[in-house]
Parts: sequence; structure tokens; C-alpha cells
Amino acid sequence: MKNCIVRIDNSHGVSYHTVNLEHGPVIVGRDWNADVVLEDRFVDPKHLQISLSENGEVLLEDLGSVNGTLLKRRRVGATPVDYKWGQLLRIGDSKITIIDGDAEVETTLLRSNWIGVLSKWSSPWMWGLSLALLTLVQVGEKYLNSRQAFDISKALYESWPAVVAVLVVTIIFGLFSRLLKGENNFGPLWILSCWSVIITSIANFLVKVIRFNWQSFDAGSLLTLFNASLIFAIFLFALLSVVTNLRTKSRMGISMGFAAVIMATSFAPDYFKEERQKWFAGTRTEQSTLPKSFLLRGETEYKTYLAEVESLFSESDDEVKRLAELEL
Amino acid sequence: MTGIGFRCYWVLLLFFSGVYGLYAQEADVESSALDTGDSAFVLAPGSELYNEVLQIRVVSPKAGSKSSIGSGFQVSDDGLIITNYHVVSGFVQAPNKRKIEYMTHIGESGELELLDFDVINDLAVLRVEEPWEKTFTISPRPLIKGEVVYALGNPYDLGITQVSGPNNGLVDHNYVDKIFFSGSLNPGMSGGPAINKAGEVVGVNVATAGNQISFLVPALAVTKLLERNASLVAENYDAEITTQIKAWQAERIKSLLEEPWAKKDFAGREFPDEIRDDFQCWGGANDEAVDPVVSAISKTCQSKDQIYLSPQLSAGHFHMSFRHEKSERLNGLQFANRRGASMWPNNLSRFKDSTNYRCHADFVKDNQEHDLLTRVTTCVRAFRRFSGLYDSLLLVEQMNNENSWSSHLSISAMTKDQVQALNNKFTEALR
Repeated sequence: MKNCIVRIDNSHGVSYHTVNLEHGPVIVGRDWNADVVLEDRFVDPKHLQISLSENGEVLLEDLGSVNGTLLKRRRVGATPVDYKWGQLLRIGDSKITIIDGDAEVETTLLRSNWIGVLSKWSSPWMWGLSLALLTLVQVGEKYLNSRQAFDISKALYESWPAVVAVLVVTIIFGLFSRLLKGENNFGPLWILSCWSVIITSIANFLVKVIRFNWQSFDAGSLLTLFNASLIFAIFLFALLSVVTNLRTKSRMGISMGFAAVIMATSFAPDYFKEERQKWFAGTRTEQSTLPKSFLLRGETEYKTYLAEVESLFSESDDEVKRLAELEL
Repeated sequence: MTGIGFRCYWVLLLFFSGVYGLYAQEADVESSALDTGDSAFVLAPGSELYNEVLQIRVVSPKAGSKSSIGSGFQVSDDGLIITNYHVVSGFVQAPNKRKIEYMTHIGESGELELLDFDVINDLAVLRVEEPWEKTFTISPRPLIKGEVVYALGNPYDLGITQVSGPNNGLVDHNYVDKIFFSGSLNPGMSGGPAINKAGEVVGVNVATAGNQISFLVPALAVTKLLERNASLVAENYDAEITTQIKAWQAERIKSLLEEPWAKKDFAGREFPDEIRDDFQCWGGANDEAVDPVVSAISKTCQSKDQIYLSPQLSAGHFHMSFRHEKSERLNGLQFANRRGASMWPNNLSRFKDSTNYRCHADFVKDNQEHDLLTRVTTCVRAFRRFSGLYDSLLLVEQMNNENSWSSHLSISAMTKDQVQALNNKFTEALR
């Protein structure tokens, strides 16, 4: 049995078609009756034929197409030419690769890296382990941020929204994956969303430690937001890889775009505020406080501190001047 | 700082801007008329003084009616009229948008010119174009404690009223002298004269804390202001306020900086207390809480003096507050999570009056043996119209896994040098 996989990469994304060459030649083209249907207007209805030679080699033959077929930058004519597994073939606007389906092909070669890794790890054991770790990290996060005496049963109870969120993401995007790719990706999605939450919790605590150590840096909330957006972008990228056939560039664009939108919508309202609305009677300073053992740097000398505070006065004076010039 | 309550009474300034309810006060007015039956008899020779008390109004021509009212009285043949600064503060805030007017007992009215003011003692000098014949004379003799005083004024625009009662000398714990008067002053009576039996002015009505606890500006402050003989122009109002605040603060802060501060034990450490006569401390503890996660004690020490500049702007506050928390059932992490460094000033301000607070927070090396983590947060904002004056908030947090001391210093309307010197003295007192 000579199974081979035709990989098509064009503006519709990447798709794979399994064909069997033993039953006769396989036609690639725009025609609905073609064995491999290609949605590409520069491709003829019956464009290319893939067949098996007597000694078991793959042969390519152009069926007299208008735009031709290119193999290694050379035009394939009506005489069949030899094809080596994995060579890149161009017809119309599409890139085609034919892979030996009987060979031990790495899963990652066929599917995108993300889904490959996730599928490799996907097993009931891993699903359970991810859930357990997710719960553990959730409880840990509650413990680290508690202002009251810690109550483990309460923390466990409060972890359920995270589990529900993971479940919802898995079901919704699992169904999408079914519809868009015809693949069953519930397992990988479960692992992906569990780990996104776990990594977010861990990163949040690291950010808190950084903010604590860096008290005088008054953009702590920016750091937190940047961290959250970055994790979200990575999660979204992986999610799109699992669910859609979009190209890497598109996936990257969409996820980065979303992260940028989150950052922008969090800060734009402040940026566009009128000067008058920016006024606030109280003070805003870094709120993160941890025990002394988390302070990884030395404390500042009091004299140095006093010198740093000095500039607050001149900065306030400059602000007075600036507002006066704006005639506000 | 959150969690610290102040147990001080609120002083209500006695100008009336039409927003107070009238119902309860109407009864008060009637009863005080009955109470003062015999003093009206004593006043008989001077009863024509009633008619000499003026109503002072700040009028907004745009709205076509008065925006606030107070009382006032003529003190010289050339038409000088005394009232409270806070009665005319609406005009000082917007001299080209508002006018000051008087109204006599028979309803005559006219415009007044603002000549001078004293924001510290809450006084203002106005001038009328055509003076009346009768004027009030200012008593050359200091008031004797217990001497009966008759306060005149127009509460709630109801008509000129007289309220009598003994004076109890100067108010304790005030840096700026105020006469403690046992009588019911009501909104609208601000700036009215308080006279002795001889009909001489001994003070100016200024504020009340309710229940026959009222305050008068001593006549001496009026004399001093009249002696200045100044004639301010609208462009210089802000500069004049700045100068007055600076002069007052320089005198007030000097001894606080020079002399050592009184200290008292606060959860095992020596902390500043009533650092001068004009400071009072109040304290509390959460010892009634059932099974608390932390046991807390707090103390607030403050000077009662503050300067009223407008309904939305006050200055001159000096507050120190301290809070100690001891962890009862929390570990170091949970205990640390309870700390938060946001602060609120004690004085009122707005965008128009101040910049935003600018802050710097950092961990500072402790100069003592105890292993406390010390975080100092310094925040400063500048007054936009009073150049060289700043409000400052300082928070010194000293903590370990079981104990935390949060010490807060909130000072208002001081120069850079004063803020730095006081912040430094406060921090050093704790380290």
C-alpha cells in the first residue's frame, strides 16, 4: 500500500490530504472530481497527476496546465518526472509537498509544532496531572496573596472558576477545531489552557517579587499588564495553531494584535483623559509588600533616599508651570 | 491613611450659602430670643447697634443673586468694614466674576471694595463709598474671662440677631488665638461684631462647633489688620495669601524644628506625641474585636489650626498618625499583604489648586539594632497659585513578620525647607 500525504500551503492556510497511489494515478486540480481539490484560481481543473512507477517511484506529470508546474524551479512537462519525497512543488499560487505516508513520519512534521508537542503529551495521565497542578497553583496563589489567616478549603473552593474557564476553553475551541480542521483536539486544548493558567499564576508572583524589590519604579502596574498580555499572546498563538490552519505569520499577527489591544485599552482611557480628570486627591505608589526575606537587594542609605526625594519639589514646580502654560 | 479615625469635633464656619436646612435652626433662633430677654434689657442704650450690623453678600452677577452671606460692621468714619475672610473668599477666588455687596437692616444695598484680608485670623477689610455716621469702636481693653459678650449677626438671612453668653478666654490647643464663646452662633452670623456691655467690639464671630460652643476672632487681630492700612489689588490676592501663609508657618514651625519632640511609648517603642501645646493626641485599639487576626493600636496627633481658603481649599494642616499591628494568627506573608502605602491628605484641594502628588518610595536602611524592614514613602504636591508652598505626605513603615508600625505625617502649605526639615525630624524620631 503506497500511502502518501499531500501537503498544500496557500492563502487558505495549510492542509493535508492522504491519498493512495496503488489504486492508480491521483489527479490534483481545481475540479471537484479531482482526487486532491485545490482552491486556487491559477490552477487548472485537472492540473497535475501523481502516479507510481513500476519500480515504486513517484512520478509527476503536468496535464497541460496553463500556468504550469514548477519542481526545483523547472517546469514539469507532459513527460513524467521523478519526484523525491518532501520536494517543494509550485502550482498556481500553492506550494505542495508530498510526504511518504508509510515512512515513520514525526507527528510534528505533519502538524504544527505546537499541536505536535501538545498531542505528544496528551494522555489521560497528563490531563489529570495538569488539572492537579492547576489546582495546586491556584491554591498556592491564594495562599501567597492572602491577607487573612489561610483557609485551605476556602482556597480550594475559590479555585473552581479557573477550572471552569479551562473547561469552557477546551470545549468551545475543541468544537471549533472539529469544525475547522476536522481534528479532535480536546486533549491538547485541555493541557494548553491548564498550563496557561499555571504559568500566569507563577509569572504573577514573580512580577510581585520584582515590583516589591523595585519599589521606586512607579510603573509596576504596566509590568503586570505587560506580563499578562504576553502570556495571553502566547496562549492565543497556541490556541490558533490548534484550532485553525492559519499561517504562522497570521497567527502571530492576531495574537500580538490582541495583546496590543489589551495593553492599549487599559492605558488609552488614562492617556486621553483631560488634565482635569487626571487630578487625584490621594497618592498612588507601589502597593506590593512582602516579608523582608524577599528583598533581594540592599536597602537604600537614608542620605541617598533624601537626595532622591529632592527632585519631587522641582518636578512639582515644573508641573505648575506646564499647567499654567496650558492655561488650565 | 486608612483605618485611623479622628475624634475631633468639626468646626462649622458661619457663612451661609443657602444650602443648610432651616427647620431645626428656626427653633433655635426663637429660643435664643427668649433666653436673651434680660440681656436685651442691658443692651437697651446700645440697641440701635442692631441697625448698624450689615449683611455682607458675595453676589454672582451671572446668577443674578447672592451666592453666600455673612455679617459685617463699620469700624471707621472713612467707611472701613470688618468681616470674615471666609465670607468674602468666594470673591477672592474669582474677583472678576463676583461682587461684594452690603445690605442694611432696611434693605439698602450697594457694592463694597475689598481692601485687605488676613487668612490666618480669618478677617477681611472692606470699604463702602458713602460711610454711615455711626461706627463700632474696638475695645482697647483685653477681654476678661467670664465677661458676657453679645454677638450680633444675621443668621440664615432671617434678620439681625443678638446672642449673648460668657466668654471662656482663649481656646486651648490652638496656635492661632480664638475666643471661646458660650453662645449659639449660626450660619450667616460670620463676620458680625461681638461686643461687651459698653458696646465696644471685643471680637468677630467666626465659627461654631454646635451646642453653645462658638468661636470669636479676638479684637486685637482686627486692630493689627487695620493698622496695616493696606490696599490690595485683585492681581495680588494670591501673592498676598502666599506671603501670609509663609510668614505664619515660619513662626509656627520654628519652635517645632528647634525643640526636641515629646515622645511616648507606642507598642514598645518611643514615638512622637503631643509635641507642643497646640497638638492633641487621640488613640484607640481594636481590643474589643473577637479573635482578631491582628491586634492594632492607633494614635493620631494633630494641630487644630487650619486655614480656610475656599469651600474646596484648605491648608495649614499638621497631622501625625501612628498605627501598630501585631500579627495574632497570620504568617509573615499574609501579614505583609496587609500593608499598603496609599495616602490621603487632610486638607481639601482641587485640580485648580494643586498638582497631583508625586511620590518616591524605597526601603531605607535602619540605623538601629532591630531588624525591621523600613519603607519610606514621600509624596509632595505644589500649590498652583501659591508659589513655593507644598502639601506633603510622608509614610514610614517599619515591619517584620510579627509587628508593623506605620507612621504618617501629613503637612500642608509649607515651604520646601519646612517640609524637608519636618519630614526628616519625623523620620529620625522613628528610626
